[in-house]
Amino acid sequence: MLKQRLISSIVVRDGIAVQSIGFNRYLPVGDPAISAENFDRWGVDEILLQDISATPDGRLVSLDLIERVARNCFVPLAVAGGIKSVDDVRSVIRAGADKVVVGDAAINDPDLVGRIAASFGAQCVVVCLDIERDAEQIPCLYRRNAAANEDLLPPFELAESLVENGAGEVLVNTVHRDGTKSGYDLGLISEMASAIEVPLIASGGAGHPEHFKEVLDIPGVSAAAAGNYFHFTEHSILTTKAYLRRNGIKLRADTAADYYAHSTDDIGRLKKLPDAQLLDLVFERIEEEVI
Amino acid sequence: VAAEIESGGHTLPFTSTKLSVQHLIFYRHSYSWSFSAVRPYMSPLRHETRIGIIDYGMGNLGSVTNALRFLGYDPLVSGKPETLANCHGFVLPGVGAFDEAMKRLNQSGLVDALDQWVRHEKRPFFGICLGFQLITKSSTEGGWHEGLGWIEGEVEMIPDEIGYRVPHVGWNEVDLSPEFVEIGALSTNPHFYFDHSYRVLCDDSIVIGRTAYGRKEIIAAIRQENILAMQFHPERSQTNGLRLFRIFCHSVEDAVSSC
Repeated sequence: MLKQRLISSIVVRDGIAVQSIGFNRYLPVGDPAISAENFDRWGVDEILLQDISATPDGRLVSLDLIERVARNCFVPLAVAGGIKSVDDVRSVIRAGADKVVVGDAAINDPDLVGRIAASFGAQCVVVCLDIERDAEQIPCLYRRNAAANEDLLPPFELAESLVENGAGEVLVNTVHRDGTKSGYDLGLISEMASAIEVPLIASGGAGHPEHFKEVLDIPGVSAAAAGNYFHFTEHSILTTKAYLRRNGIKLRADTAADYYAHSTDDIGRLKKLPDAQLLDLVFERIEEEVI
Repeated sequence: VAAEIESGGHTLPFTSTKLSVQHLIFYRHSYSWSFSAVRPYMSPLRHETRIGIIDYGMGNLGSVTNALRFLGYDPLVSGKPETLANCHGFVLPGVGAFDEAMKRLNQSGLVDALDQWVRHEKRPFFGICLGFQLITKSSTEGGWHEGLGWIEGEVEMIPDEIGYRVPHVGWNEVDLSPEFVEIGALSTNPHFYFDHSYRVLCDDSIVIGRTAYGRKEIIAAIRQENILAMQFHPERSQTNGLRLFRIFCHSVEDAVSSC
């Protein structure tokens, strides 16, 4: 059967992977290629590479960056950042990406999604919607440089129309939860999942393995993405997957080390194994030791 | 407790048990990783085996090149029949729409060239995703279009079913034929990455892998003589995908040594 996916997103700003908080504060993480390699080894299901300085600078995501990241990555690679035309898509895919994520460009130019889908197929286009809640808690589109008089469709209608144009997946990024570790905006995501008929990727706010479970339990949610949460712990993907699989979420687990038998504490970290088991490991180690 | 082990004149002091337990947990995890064949070994380059990746302007060439490089080959990426002519095996990658792909293949003269190389000279061929769909007789993607027609089969849209959204995106478990699992040293019922809205319907005798999406069956892999084709993306399916690639590469090497 088809498994749900855990996606790790690598947010790149000026060539450096960063931790993003509320789309306005950034902390450096390191080299994006090394992050990607780690995620790949830890059994992630997909990597989302976002170059957030591309659109403000008016350029395409760095192709050199894609090549470096793709070299050590054997999972699907979705790339976002300043993609505005079918030719951009072609060069991004040639550099090593498998699908493209379009955000602002798809909103400004609704035909773009259709043109990409006609050449590369719908499965190649992911539409990214950055959504926040306004003062009255009503979901609205987040625009960094929105003109004051700009008329915007409500996000759900916009998503529907983009899917009609040929988008293969919709990535919902909740800006007000970004970097807060307080969990996904479940209300917004389930409303969006029922509005569209293609797979949905939820993003923004993961801080505990339980948050992934909550969001993956919503019908229609095909994947949960997180950036900050996966970056700072060793084997983060494996431990999260183990937690989710223990709690009934169907995920791929092809790797030999899966932590399935371990348990986790309140904040989602692995608990120490029982002493007896550790002692076994000690004996195992000594048998293998050759001096 | 401090213990000392003597060996060959060297004395290796072991610190307290507590500390070594800590150390061993770490060691154990990293050990099981390296042991789990997360990656097959990175082989030395084999320049004598020429694998051609067919570039018709719309495949995910970067990913396929990466996978072959990892396995130790230096693939030739080209869209010109004269450049590809002396390759020992061919990979037809694919991310794209059927009719545009056929149009581009026809324009570059690759249709006749491939027909000669693959169907008459029996050079090994590996089709991925759209590359698999293209070798069938026809597709209904964007109207009726004729394919390469190397295998008896056709392409249709994945039928609607409540709760199962199209495109079919994600990792699905594939039921591969046992013989194939053995050749490739794959794990049993491995997962592979799918990303498609259309599926191939073809004769049962050539099918070597199937997967289920809801109540529907999707043909995941076929083999017909020298033609191997997959609906999923082995170049993006981690270790199991690389192992499938290795099967193809070995068949190319066999072809090299036999000629």
